Amino acid sequence: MEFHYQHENQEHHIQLEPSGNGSYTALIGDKTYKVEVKRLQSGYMMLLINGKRLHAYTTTSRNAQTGLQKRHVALVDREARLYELAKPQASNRRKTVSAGSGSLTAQMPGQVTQVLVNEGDSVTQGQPLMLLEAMKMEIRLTAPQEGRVTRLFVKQGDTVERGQQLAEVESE
Amino acid sequence: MFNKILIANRGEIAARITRACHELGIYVVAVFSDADANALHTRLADEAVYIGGPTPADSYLRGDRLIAAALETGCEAIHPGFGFLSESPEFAQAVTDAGLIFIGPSADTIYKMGIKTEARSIMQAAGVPVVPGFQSDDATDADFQDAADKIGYPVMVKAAGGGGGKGIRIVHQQADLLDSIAAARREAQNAFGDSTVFLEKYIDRGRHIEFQVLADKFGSTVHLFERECSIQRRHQKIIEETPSPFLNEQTRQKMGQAAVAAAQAVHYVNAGTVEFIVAETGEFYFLEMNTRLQVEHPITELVTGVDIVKMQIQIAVGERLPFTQADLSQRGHAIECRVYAEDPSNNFLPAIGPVLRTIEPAGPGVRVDAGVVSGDEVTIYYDPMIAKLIVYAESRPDAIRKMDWALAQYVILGLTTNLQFLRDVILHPAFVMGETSTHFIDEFLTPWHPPQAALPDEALIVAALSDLLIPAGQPTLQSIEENGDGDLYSPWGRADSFRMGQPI
Repeated sequence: MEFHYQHENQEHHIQLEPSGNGSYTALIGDKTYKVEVKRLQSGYMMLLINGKRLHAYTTTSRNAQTGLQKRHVALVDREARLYELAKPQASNRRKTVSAGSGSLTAQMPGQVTQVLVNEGDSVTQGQPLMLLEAMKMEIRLTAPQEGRVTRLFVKQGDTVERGQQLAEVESE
Repeated sequence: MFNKILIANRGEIAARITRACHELGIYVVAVFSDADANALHTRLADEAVYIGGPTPADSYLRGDRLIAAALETGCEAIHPGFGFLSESPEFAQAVTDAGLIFIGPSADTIYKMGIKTEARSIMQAAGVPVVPGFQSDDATDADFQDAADKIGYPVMVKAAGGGGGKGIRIVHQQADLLDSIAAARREAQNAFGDSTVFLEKYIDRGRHIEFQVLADKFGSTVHLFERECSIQRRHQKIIEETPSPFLNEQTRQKMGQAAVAAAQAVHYVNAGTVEFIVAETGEFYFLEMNTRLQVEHPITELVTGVDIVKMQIQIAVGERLPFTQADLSQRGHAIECRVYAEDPSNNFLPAIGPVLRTIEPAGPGVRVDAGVVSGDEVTIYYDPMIAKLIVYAESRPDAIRKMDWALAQYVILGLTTNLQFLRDVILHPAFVMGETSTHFIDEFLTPWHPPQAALPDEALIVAALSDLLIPAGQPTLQSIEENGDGDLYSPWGRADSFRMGQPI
């Protein structure tokens, strides 16, 4: 899937796709990187990028006034290098499961392991609607707002593509 | 030993004192303002007492509330730290009057050292060299001219009631003296309502070198050698080191003896610092005495092996110094850098906000005295210092290398800091050569710009990977509190029968 960031007024794009066993393929411009996640814990990760080791710390912040989200990254080898990447608002909406429209889409390819609601059910904000398994991880899809489940587009066992619509929740 | 003390301070130094107390088995009562309810020093203490609003005048400077808090919580003593009320003779007296022990010198000593002309005459009487000068209420123009000739140009014309740089003139030749005196008088009259001026020798490119002293209640006084504090920005020290690369052994001995004499002249008890100005010729003069713990005390601790804060407490309890001057020596080299939330490329303007993540360097000879760690906030109300980074190594070049490594490894996410600037200072050829002066930053590093580097692809990969794997965000400060189950992908959150060590 694609991610967009801003760094010092420049747009940057990266495409990141899982390639199994905790590995990913990253595409930046015309460059391709093989990324292996060796360790991942509370804001720290150790990666092998094309076989080269990288330690990194990362966290996010959100400006309460502007709503601007930033991702802060520290790359640490012989010296720490710090970067602040702004997340353009549009791609935030696309990436975040529970943001806004009432329409729920799969944020990564995977399989529906469980559907927890039926069409017509009333749901509260944050209530889990279904469970997806992707990249050996379980992801909960939650209701973005209080309302009624008007449509379910998938059933248990279905394989879904990234961006595929899964359900619709309309506020009453 | 005390059972419980109150620390009338905040931030890094309150945390430092708290740790010393806990080591000695003493319970600690912290005080906090509205801005510090969750601050590190409040969290570390055994008890914490709210003392008022975020402005210092409404909290950390409220001696009455501090003393009341100490009495209510059953404390036996108050440690003032530095800044705030640490050099207030009224506060020291009020603490004593309340039946508590003030961990510091007597109110009388603090008072005497706080008045520059008084301190100057006490030191002169004790044979401690003071900057040559001339002061007389009924001096004629001719008297001033004679005196200036005797002192030797350049001389400084200073307002007796002055401060803040007002009423000061630097005069390089006799022809300008009388005009400068008249101008200084006018300025002093306007600013302080007192036109009295005096003359002092102007020490150009002087170095600020200070000596740490310790004195117990039984008259035993020692010095713990010098600290060189010449690297300053906006008249505030940012890098200190010991030993001074400038002093030879003979001058060091003489200055140490002068520092001890200065302390004894006012019957000093507890830890204090005697500040000297040292001319390029090697002559040194008493400037002032700081009657408290200094920010930069750790470098002295590292080269002498003496824990100054613990000594302060032991002296206040009434213990004898466990060593004499002959037992003390400097070994190796220590440097301290003050890590600030500030922008060195923009006039060192403070940076305010939450500190999202700190990763402190660690290793042999690396010490971090932090007041702000991951999750804490730098507010507009107090000094924006995040931490003091102190290194100790066998030699000065070795210590510079270690400091460079430690600064390079220090990760602070969320705020602009001076980490890169500090690296540029200590790696500057002039600093490496030991050519430090109070003009250093103006001369060599103004203006300063952070190195510009293009965004490396690795940073994009880390960002995207994090956003992919943790879509809700590595919990931000707010979401940690608001959202108990922030980690969507924890194996412990799985609803299946997954168990550690069981066949899947």
